[in-house]
Amino acid sequence: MSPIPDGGLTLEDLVAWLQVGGYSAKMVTAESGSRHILSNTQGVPFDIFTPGCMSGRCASISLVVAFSTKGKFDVSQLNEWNSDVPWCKAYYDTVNDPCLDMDISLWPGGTYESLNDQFATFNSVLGKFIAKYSLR
Amino acid sequence: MSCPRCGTESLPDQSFCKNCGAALATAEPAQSAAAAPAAPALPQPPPVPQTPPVSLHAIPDGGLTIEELTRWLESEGYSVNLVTGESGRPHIVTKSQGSPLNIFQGDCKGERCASLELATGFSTSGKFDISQINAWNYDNRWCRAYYDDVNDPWLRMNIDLSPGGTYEALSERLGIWNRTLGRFIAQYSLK
Repeated sequence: MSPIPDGGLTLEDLVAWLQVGGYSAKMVTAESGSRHILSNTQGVPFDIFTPGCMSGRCASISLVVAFSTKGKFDVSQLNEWNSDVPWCKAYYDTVNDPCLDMDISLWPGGTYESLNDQFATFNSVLGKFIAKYSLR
Repeated sequence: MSCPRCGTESLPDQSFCKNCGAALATAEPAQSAAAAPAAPALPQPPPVPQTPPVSLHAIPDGGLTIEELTRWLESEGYSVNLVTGESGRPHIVTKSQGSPLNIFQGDCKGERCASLELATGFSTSGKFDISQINAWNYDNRWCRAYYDDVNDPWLRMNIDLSPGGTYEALSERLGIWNRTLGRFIAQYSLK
């Protein structure tokens, strides 16, 4: 096993992890000064947020994909998704666009093998979400 | 061979970059969004931990049997009742925050299961305002909330056990579940 270090991963660790796996990874700084990572999978951008970091190390990550549908998405479909499909929760934002979100715990007890497995699950579920609601 | 991360030249038999520690054999250049594969490659772990490895208690390959899960829950102070539903596969019913908690096993191969799903539902006799569910999912991490066919609210969370799972991570996720469920109960005055 490859344990994740005490306290979790830094943003730089996460960028390296993505890039070694062949993913793009761009660090983005919000107006608030907080940083997150922007990447791509299956042709759509996704964000990796790292709430609650201490001394630069982050014990968990949130993977978030938001789809722009210009108000065309039927938000009533999302309850069925959350009822039926495990791993990722779906919701709609303030302009009724659908979002998919998965949280991954990194520490304590995390390993890179588990992180990879959960990221693969995120990819799989995202693919189902895109197909089910014809999102691109 | 040059390192894909920092460009440092390495000998052909080296697996990791001597400068930054990146994997040499498995590393591939980053892809743009346009070139992203339909079935993307799984990211590989950076090979050099930044701090010395901690002692972890690994969950066996393939996950846990229901007997192992039962023993672990009991060692953590939870009561365990085994219930067999329509599927024929037993699941565990225990208590969390004073409410029944169902623990279903998933991704099973034989007796070992590589994931868990935690689920708690609340009977509200139609009094729950289902328009609140989206706000929960928008604002809160970890668990997904939904309402069932009689408009009663549910909270669910999945836990990955294998590969790479540890009992420490399982304990952490169960703690996250307990805290999130507590907030759900408090926010919507459920019991």
